[in-house]
Amino acid sequence: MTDNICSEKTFRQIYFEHCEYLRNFLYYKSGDLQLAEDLMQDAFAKMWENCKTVTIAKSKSYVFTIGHNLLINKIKRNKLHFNFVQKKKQRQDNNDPQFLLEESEFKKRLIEAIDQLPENLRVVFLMSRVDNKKYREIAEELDLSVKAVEKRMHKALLQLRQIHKNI
Amino acid sequence: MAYDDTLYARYLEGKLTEEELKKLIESGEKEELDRIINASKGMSIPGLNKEAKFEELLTSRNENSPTSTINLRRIMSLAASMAILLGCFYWWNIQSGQVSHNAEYGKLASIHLPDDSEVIMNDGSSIHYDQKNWANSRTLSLTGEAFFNVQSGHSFIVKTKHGQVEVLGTQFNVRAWDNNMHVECYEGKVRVTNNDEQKDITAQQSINIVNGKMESKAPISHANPLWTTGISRFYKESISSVFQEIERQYNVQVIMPVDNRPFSGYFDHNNLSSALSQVCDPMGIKFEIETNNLVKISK
Repeated sequence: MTDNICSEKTFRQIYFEHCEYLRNFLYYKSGDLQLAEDLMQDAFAKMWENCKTVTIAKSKSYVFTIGHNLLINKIKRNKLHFNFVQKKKQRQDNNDPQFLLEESEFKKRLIEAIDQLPENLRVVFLMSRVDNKKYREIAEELDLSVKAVEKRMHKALLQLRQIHKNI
Repeated sequence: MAYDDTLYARYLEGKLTEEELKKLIESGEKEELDRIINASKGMSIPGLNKEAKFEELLTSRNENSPTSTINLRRIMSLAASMAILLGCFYWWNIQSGQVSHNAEYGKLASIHLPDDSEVIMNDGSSIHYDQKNWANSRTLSLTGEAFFNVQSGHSFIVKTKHGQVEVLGTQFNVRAWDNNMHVECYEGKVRVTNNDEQKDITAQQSINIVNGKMESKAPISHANPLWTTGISRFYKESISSVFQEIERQYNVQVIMPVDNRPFSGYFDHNNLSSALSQVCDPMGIKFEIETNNLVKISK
């Protein structure tokens, strides 16, 4: 087979393209950043061992599948931890300190609510919002139809809307 | 019509028909969704140093000794989780040891350097240093304003684009935004260098660099920089730099006519309109707070 991924150059390219998304995906599922990074490495190591049987086109879903399987064996759900990074130039819509306080409270509630979403909804929501992926890309990585991804996203947003009612 | 189970998802990608969108607005759903969408915009998790991770993978592949790499990984992750605790944006390039810290707008950030010296950064400020080399040369670069409480030892240098400040163990404040630089010494002695000028100042003294020239200023009477207690104070500083400080502190944009008069006084950090009064009233100018973060100044 000529288009396998065994050369270091090809493998490096694939690694750089997918490693962070894979890590994030594993993190969204487990809530454990350290575990996510370890399993990401293990998944790529495993793919390299079997590089002769993997083509470039298949590499993404291959490494995601391995990572997912490794996680299923390990899984112990933890709470998600996010940093909110304020873009430096980003201006708030309102500068009233009361408003800013409410916004930070809202973000805190939002993270809690995301944390409590069922796993399949949470993963889709975060891949879309944090990794800025198109539904088509998410569908490909999770081996779902685009329609199914849209349904999950809709459901996730529907549940997250509830936090407005509790404020 | 059957219940649409992809409506919100399609709204997010901007793929609703006009009619669907109209319904969403009328029911108030759009507003609630927008709030969730906006709030989740700034969510991020620590970045991944791909270069270092890939090298790690290569090493473990060549040596085929997974145990040693796992330990290394644990240590790195531990450092990463400590970064989260700092609560401010953290970027760490493992290979070069370069570390940056930024204080968000409207927030102060307190940082401990590797030698346990303390830095309190005013909002919108950033510092940058080489962690690997810290023990040999305690040097960092600063944009903005920060208060330093330095552990005694060999020289500690703060570089800014207007000049540098060098100290032994002491406490001092450096303010270096766009146009000028201002150094206040609270304890011990610091040396300020700018081009070929050099000057030492001791406790309760301060120095200004305006347009590349050094000027001594009135002695300081407070024990800590006032901004660390929620006040910004100025002594004979141009009014435009005072408004620049208001812009950073309250995350607003100030539009003002040309005005080069100096301002001496202070403003509070907890209320925009009273802060503006504190500056504008004594200067005999008017202000108007408009929507979308705009403040208009007029004579």
